[in-house]
Amino acid sequence: MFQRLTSLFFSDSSTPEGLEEPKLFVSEEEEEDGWLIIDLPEGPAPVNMESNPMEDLLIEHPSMSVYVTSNSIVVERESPDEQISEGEVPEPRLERHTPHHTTSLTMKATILEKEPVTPVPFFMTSYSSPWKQTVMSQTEIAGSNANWNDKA
Amino acid sequence: MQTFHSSQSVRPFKMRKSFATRLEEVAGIRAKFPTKVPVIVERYHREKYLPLLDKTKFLVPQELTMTQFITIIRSRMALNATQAFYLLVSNKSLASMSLTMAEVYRDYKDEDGFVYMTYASQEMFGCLLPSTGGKLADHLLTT
Repeated sequence: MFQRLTSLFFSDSSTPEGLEEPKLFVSEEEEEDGWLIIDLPEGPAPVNMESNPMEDLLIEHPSMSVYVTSNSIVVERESPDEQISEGEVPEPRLERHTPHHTTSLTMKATILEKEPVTPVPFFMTSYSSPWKQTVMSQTEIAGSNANWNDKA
Repeated sequence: MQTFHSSQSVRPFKMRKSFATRLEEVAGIRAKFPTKVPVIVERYHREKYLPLLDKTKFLVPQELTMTQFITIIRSRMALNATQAFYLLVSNKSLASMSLTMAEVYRDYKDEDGFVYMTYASQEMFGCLLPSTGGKLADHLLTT
């Protein structure tokens, strides 16, 4: 056990020495008349400073950024929608169901639409809405549901 | 050997040898090693913290970069991790680390044919070494 450990330690201590030998450049030192002569190892050039064109493909260009495109779309489309709804819609609880809205809102809307338990309240058909589809908030639907059940 | 070092620290290479002798030496060594660049590396005369090099005259390959050369100098001085230095080329310039010695020689060689470099310690972390910090503190207090 201890022999193994010591051999491990010894091998550990010897391997770094072995690894140190092939450096980036080996300075072979000779002396000649007070001169210290430094030599590079023979063979291929150790430092290749030229960059591969493939490396450029790995660098994300700002125009290709995923974050920029999604953000810009949301900002561009949401702000005019808000202005319109603030100016024209009298009912603050009504929400227009359009593909321009953020995904969370449309998701909510589709979930509400597809809910089988909640039938469409009868007065919604008589409601004169300038929008193609109107989606009510959950509390309102629940309230109308209760009314429906009472009437039935 | 020690006396040689101390005399070397007092008088720079240019003062020790006449211009004619230096020209001759460059011509001789260039003829012998045409692919090598003759570099004289000396310590800044007011340097107090870096050791003297045991060699002054270096013959380095032309394709060696300044970075590699500094690494060689650094390993010869056996500095610890908290010590840093810079090489002043021809007593006035800080050469780019990506330059090869051939480029440095072309741009900065002296009229005698050598390239002269001076090394001086660079203060790291805003202060000097702990061993010399006391001295520095004293120096700062007196000034």
